[in-house]
Amino acid sequence: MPRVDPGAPRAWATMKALPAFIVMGQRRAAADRAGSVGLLALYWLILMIFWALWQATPLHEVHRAGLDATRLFWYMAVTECVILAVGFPYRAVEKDIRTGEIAAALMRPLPYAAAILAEWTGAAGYRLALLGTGGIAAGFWATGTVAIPLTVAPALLLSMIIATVLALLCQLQLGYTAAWVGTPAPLFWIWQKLTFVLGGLMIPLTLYPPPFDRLAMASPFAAMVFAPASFLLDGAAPTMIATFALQLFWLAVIGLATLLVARAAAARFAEQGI
Amino acid sequence: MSARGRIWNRLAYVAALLRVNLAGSFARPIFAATSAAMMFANNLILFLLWVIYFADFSSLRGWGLQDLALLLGIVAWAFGLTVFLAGGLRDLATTIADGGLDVHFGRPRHPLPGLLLSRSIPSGLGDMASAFLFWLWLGGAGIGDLPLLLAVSTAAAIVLGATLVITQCLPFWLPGAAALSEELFNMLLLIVFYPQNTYGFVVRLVLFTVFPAAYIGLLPVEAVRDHSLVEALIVLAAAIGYGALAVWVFERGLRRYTSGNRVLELR
Repeated sequence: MPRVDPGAPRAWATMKALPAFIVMGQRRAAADRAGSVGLLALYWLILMIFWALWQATPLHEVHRAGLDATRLFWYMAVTECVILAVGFPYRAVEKDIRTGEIAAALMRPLPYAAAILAEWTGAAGYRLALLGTGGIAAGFWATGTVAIPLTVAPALLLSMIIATVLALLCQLQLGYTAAWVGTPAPLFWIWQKLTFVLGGLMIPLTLYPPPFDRLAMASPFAAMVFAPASFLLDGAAPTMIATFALQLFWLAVIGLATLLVARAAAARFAEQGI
Repeated sequence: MSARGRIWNRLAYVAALLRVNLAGSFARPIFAATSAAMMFANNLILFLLWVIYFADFSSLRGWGLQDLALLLGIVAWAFGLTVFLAGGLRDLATTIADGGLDVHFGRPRHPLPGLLLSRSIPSGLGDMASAFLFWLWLGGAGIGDLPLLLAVSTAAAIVLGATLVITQCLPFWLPGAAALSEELFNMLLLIVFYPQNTYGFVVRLVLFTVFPAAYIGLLPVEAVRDHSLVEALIVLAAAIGYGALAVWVFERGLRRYTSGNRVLELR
């Protein structure tokens, strides 16, 4: 019986291949020019829909100083950038499991989970750069300003990268669930909508009424969506440190959960086949 | 065969396709039920966004939470009905690009019904079920409003299906446009799920013509809100117009179609 990859790092030497997978993911994403144009168009469309929505919203009713349509536009530019950069990569794992191709991938020295995550990171990194640039251009065109203070820009970028990795880890887990449920799409819909609602995709969590605000802040979705965008609402150092701590906490929890799910899936493949 | 006989014959053909299509959908009953239940939950979670929004703000240019519930119900019904009965339209662009139309040319029928009714997506049932919850409970509509709601929502489904057929026909002219067709589909869905009363004149003009999202979201809601027969009739007319346009575009595209030699697979 072939030795099955448990999804955990086997040897650090094999990890040297990870940068190559990151570059491969980035190059593949860049090669899909039609997809990139479509994604950028979708991003702009979303931003314009919400620009119209926030302009039509009676924002004075919440009595928050400095909260205007421009600031909410830039908030959404960040949240949507993360969500769209991640995309739907879980389908790749689902396809690998459905077609049985994962069997060959599991035999390689580099753990399947690490390899595919590295490839996704490269692709998502490319899309983050594309959408980030496109978002700044669209934002400047619509609002006449770039409402990202230079002092928070490096922290914002780092937080967006952590948020993207968190979402990719969740997608990897969703892809692995194909081992049990066959088609993870229904689970993905729920996860995606929870990301929208509990992550604060459209409305900052600080504007949520109780008990939604506490529920959302305690969920991992806040670390994936709200965390980076919150820097545009409150760029104070203590708030930023607390936000990074929250993201790193969820990175550890979700990373560990992903490892366990990968191991469980590999064990299932070994026992019952693919 | 008389004209009436031809119509009955066509209806019998469509009914037979539907029977096979739906039987295929329920071949895995647990998966079908789970998909429908998850989609039902998915729509309710999405509605929470608007519950939170209207907890902070009194209205969105004259629309309230009940109007949003009506909108989500109408769009959910339109989308659910479309993919449940005619799920094959999601694959139309790929079929055209891959040369898969060859298989349909061997049949003595118009290829479009066979293509559209080739697959049923069971999650559509969850969408359709959630529509009643949105309308009757969250949207404040009464049982007496149901005939109008069902009429405009079903008309919206035809406009949605027709628009998807048109965008999925892009590979007839642009062979590499299957991905673009999918993005256009995502864009249409995105637009119809959000209130369109916030847009200015130019955007509304686009939504009433080249990208007819207004007939799927805005106008059906207005028709129900105002109990307006005129607006309902406009939605019904749009369904007929865009349906005919979709058939015309498909037939124009067929003239450009080059075989993928997939007919050999039939041997």
